[in-house]
Amino acid sequence: MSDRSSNATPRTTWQSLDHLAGDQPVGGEFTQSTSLVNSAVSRRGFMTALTATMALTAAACRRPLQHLVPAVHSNQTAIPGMPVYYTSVYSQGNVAYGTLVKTREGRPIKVNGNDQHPSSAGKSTAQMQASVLSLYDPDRIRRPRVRKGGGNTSYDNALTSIANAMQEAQSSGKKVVVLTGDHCSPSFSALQARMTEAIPNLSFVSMPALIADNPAIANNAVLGIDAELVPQLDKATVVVAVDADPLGVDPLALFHMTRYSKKRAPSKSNATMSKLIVAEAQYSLTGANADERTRLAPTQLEPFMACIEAEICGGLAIGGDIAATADGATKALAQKTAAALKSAVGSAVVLAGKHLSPKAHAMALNISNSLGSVGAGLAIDPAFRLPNSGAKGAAVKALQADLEQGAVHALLFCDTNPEYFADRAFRKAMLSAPVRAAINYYEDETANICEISIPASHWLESWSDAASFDGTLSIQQPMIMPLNEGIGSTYDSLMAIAKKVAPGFLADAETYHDFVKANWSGFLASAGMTGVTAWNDALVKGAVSVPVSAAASTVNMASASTLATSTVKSGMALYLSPSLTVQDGTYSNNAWLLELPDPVTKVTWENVALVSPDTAVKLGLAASKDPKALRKASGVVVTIQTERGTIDAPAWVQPGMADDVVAISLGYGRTSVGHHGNGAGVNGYAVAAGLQPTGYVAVSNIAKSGTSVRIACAQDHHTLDDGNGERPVAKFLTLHELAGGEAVEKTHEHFPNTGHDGKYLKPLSIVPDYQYKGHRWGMVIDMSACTGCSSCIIACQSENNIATVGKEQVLIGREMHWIRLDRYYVGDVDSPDTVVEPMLCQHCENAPCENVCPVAATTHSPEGLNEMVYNRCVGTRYCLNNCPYKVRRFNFLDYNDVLKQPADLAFNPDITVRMRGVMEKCTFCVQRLHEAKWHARDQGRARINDGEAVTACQEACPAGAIFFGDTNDPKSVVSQMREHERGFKVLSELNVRPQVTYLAKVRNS
Amino acid sequence: MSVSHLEHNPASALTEPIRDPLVLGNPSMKDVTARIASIVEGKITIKYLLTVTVTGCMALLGIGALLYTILNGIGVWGLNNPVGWGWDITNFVWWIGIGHAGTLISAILYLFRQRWRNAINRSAEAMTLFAVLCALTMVLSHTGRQWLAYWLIPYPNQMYMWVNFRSPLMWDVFAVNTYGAVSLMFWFVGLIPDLATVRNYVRSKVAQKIYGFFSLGWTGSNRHWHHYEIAYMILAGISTPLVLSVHSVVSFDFTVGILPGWHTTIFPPYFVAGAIFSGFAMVMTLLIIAREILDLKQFITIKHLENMNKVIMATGMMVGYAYAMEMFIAWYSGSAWERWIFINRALGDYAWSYWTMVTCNVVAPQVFWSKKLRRSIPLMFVVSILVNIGMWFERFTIIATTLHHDFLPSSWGYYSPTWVEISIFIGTIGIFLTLFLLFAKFVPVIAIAEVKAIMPGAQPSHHHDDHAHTEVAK
Repeated sequence: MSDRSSNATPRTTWQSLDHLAGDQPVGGEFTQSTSLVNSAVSRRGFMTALTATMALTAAACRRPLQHLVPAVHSNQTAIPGMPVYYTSVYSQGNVAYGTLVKTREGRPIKVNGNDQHPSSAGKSTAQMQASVLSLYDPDRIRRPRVRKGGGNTSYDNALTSIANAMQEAQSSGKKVVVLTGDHCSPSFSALQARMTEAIPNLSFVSMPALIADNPAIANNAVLGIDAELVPQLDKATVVVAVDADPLGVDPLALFHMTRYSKKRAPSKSNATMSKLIVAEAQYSLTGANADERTRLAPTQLEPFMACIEAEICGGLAIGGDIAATADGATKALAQKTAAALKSAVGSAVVLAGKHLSPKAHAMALNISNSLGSVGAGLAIDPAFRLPNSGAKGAAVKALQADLEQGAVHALLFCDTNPEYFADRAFRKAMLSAPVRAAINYYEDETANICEISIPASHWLESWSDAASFDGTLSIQQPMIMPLNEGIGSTYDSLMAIAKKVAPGFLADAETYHDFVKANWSGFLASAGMTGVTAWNDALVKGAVSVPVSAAASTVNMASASTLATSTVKSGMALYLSPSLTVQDGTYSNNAWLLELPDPVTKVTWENVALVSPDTAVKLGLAASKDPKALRKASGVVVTIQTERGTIDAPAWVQPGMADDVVAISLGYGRTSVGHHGNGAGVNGYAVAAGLQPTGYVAVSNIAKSGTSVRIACAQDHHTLDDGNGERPVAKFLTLHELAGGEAVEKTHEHFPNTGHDGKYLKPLSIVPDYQYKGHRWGMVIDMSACTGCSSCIIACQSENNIATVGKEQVLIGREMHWIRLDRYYVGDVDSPDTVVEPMLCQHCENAPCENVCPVAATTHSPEGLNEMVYNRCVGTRYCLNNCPYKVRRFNFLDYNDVLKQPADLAFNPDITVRMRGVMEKCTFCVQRLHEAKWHARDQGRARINDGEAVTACQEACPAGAIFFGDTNDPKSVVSQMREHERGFKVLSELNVRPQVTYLAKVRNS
Repeated sequence: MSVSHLEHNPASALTEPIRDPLVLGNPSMKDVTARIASIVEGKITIKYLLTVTVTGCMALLGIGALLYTILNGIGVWGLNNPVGWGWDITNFVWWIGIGHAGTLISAILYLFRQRWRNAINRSAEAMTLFAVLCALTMVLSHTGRQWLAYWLIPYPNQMYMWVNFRSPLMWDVFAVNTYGAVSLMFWFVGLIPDLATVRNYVRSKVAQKIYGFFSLGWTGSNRHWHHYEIAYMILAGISTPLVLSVHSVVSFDFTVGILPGWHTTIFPPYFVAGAIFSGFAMVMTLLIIAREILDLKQFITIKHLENMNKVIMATGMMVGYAYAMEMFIAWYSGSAWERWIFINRALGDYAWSYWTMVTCNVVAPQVFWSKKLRRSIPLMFVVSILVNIGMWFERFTIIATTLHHDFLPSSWGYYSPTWVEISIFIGTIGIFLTLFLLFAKFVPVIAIAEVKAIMPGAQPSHHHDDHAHTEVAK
């Protein structure tokens, strides 16, 4: 394991404050010697050593830590109480995101993006952040077993059992198949190749939950590339997304957001921004961000593309027959959209949803190509291919056939859970393999059907690597020894099995670490990194750029016309898509993500059957489209029947969806994952179309089941103009208004009817303002850049030890998130626009919470922070009542009391874990401010520089929508952003003088 | 305030009383002493025991629910974000309001020489004390960490922590404690002559010792009476502003907040009127029961009850005016927040609560316009109960409607109580009734000395052979 160097560059990562300070002594406060005893060891030093020894001794009680920070040979980089940062890489399927992981006392506690990695660019997703909680999940498999439901056995025994089965297969001439999930690890690919080479009857089949081959099939036909391409949204000025969700469920969403947001923050002097046009049947997060969004029936999606294609490609169009099925409205919309696309030749792209037919993808490529946006350096660069993203369906089908014929003796599941997501036929076929073994993270559905089960490792526990689409390679380095004592990583297990089956296999590599390192010698050489330090340098940097050497490819539509077309028929359709929170089910036992409100629906802890208001009325769920009637439809359970099966799911009215569509998120309805995930929601895979679960499935019957359940929604259905006149709390304007100088009027417009003069209120006070001499902290949030991805919520939760409360408590309204994303609908209930407003403590100068606390438990700091003193709080809740933003969170019960070991290891030791009966709220990450100040003091500076103190939400925000800093420093970014003409303060008319400035959302329409 | 009923007899204007007599049956001074002290001396009846058992069980239920809350946290209640207060503070304000009638009757009516009060002031004052106790129970238990609630008291401590005098809750601490302390003193000082009477009356040695201890060596000398009258007058003077201040301070809990529906200047007078309104209603409820069970019709006459009904009607219309004025100002202010919150009060999720309040507080007392109806015992009992309910809903409406939908629609919610909160409320009623029953049994429930002062024989100018008043007393 290697740490990063301590050069104080702007992106320095460092092990300790001392380290950063260089040679300067830490303790500057005692200028004279205060040692009472004239000895070599000062009293202070002795106490320090004693404390450190005790801390280390305590830490050493846990075996995994013992290996990493041995008390005997003290790790010079690990000073108790000081964080150590390591680079690694997080793979979401076949997308690699470089990470920088904060560890304390040998345990990882916080995942950040690595700014040296182009895909993550220093940013992170909610799932990356939350994976820390999964690491310490008490429900993980702890020990191997070799019998179903049997007791534990030794690791070696379990490995031997698998090896024996493989040898039996060899002798009987049958196959051994390892089923894996998605990955982008070149070393794992190499291991697979070496293993299949060494064991002839062994094969690997990639079977992730979300197989979506259509893009690869189309790319293969049109470009000759069997892979998904990665569009570069920063190079696109007009993006048309047809049922595509690049900013939402797409594994590339983080990358897309970092690029897309670059063109989404206009000002009056630079009134330019990209234009996002969305046509979709469901209401995706991308749709919520659209400049122009139209809901289209599923049957009209591909005709819509075909009409655009006809407009733009003319004679080269391949979708003439599809265009013929477009209705009048679709044609008109297509014409308008085509005009917008034509206005941006060279930077206009059409993105098709992954579930759309191969022909739709081919049409999208055709349009983008005709607009001159396909090619090297353009928005769609055929060189940027997702690793291992080729079509997978054929291999799985072949495996199914093999299984059905009894040709497979042993089936080894490795980080994949087909018993949960695969269709019935495949699941039945799996049972025909006499020996089944699983190396999975949980005792999940698939492990349940296996005799042998070995715990899988977490990415923070194992060596591996990952390749990004642009050629960036990263080493996945472990931060902690596997929490399952004595059990190697998933890859180590595979290697060990292979070594048992084929003696002499990888004789030069004892562990997978050795294998990865050996693999990397070639990568490092091609990246121009040589010498003994190359490996360490790569670890320190976290990303090594290896040039992509893809053969040039050109669009050739000749073979595209034969591609399969859409099979969606008119009538009621079920739309399945991965969850925005628990994804495909990977995180369905992660309490942070289960409690994270879905960015679109705001529903927590489960998935729901989304229907449009009209469909709700049609299905008899609501008496009318009146909002009150629609509210009653939520939670009414409907039975949905497709040709694959039947599920009961609670209905939820989603404004803006197409009619006759029911949308359900995948990833829920687990039966065997852990105490959080079991029974949460319904399993959409059970009614999915088959191999490719996402997309539309014809609904043969849908009816009320007669029951209803309560849905824990973190926000009610209230829209901004919910019968109470416009509440100007989340302001928005169009690009034209911004360019025309109307922004000031629009955003500074005072609350109607209050008779003010349309400008900022002058602070009203009868006492002189407090003079801030040092720092004064403030924040700016650009609502135009914010996509609503919710990464900030989990980043805050991870940083600040925020408890999860469970569905029952969310139902009452007791969720604890310090930052929330207020989602407001604007417009009619059939097709509303969305405005997302991140809401957190506004650190009001005239804080209404402060004066009402009888015990002065919430006070104002000399740096302008509204501080909460947990120890002093007696819990009158008066501050909560009096907070106009309702951002204070009360510990109604002891929410941390239910945590089981080792879940408490995910806590940030810098932050108090709050007991019941006390109030809490956003602190602007005061612990980070203090850390930055110590750091500055160690370097002899009185003030910290702009950008040195970063809040957790700001650090994570993929769109870079959050700015934080010293508003007393006129040169700081935040000071300058506060003067932006789009700036406004929420509820400024209350004269509470909030220190968070919002920049109004701009829509390019 | 005219609380007397003039009945003019032209035949003998100079000799006939122009007011109804305040004590019926023309008892002698000795009769009065015997009648009231015998309640203390009398045997404990089965009926009494059963009643105390029921109220005691209610109290135990509440105490159990309180312990459950303290052990598990406020989360066992239905409170949430955004509704941080619910039944807890509703009950607190309601109980404090009920206490107000006691002080008003004791102090203000005393200073205004409204002598009809003399028969009811003792029980009204006792009610005040018990109501304040219930209010304190609510306000102490509503904190998240009840064991630290004493931090609200400004006491010197090693933590160098001081309370926040800018907080209305801090003002509450002072207002309620002052109120409780002054009410206790006033009640006790008024009791001293009567305790001495009971001391002399009871036969049990133990009882003599106990009553003797609390009567502080009262002998009934002229000097004692002189000092007593001065002390009583001073305490009445001290108590009088408290009638106005305590509920004004309680209303500051809301008015100092910045929330629409709370942040309004009408609250202090409106709350005081409401407090007197609810307090009189509660006194009425209790007196109607007490005069039946303890057979005190002689002292608590229909005239007393009628006078009180007039006060109820007057204060009821004051709160009715306040409701109307709140609506008007919400519209007139031009503040959309204010407008919306009041429309929401009347038509929103808690409209049922609002209209319960209006019906009970504004509509129900209107029956007292009719003299016949305001002298009807069953009807006034029903109205007094309705007013108690209505005033509870008034506080609930103010708290819940403002909190559940304030500024940002994203944070709107709904609040409903759990069984724990309901049990605690029942428990406070149980504590209140139990204490009142104990009081009625062991303490002279009517101020003997003061009642004697309003009997015909107590008036130096009164001709003792005048029997005209017996005719009126039909």
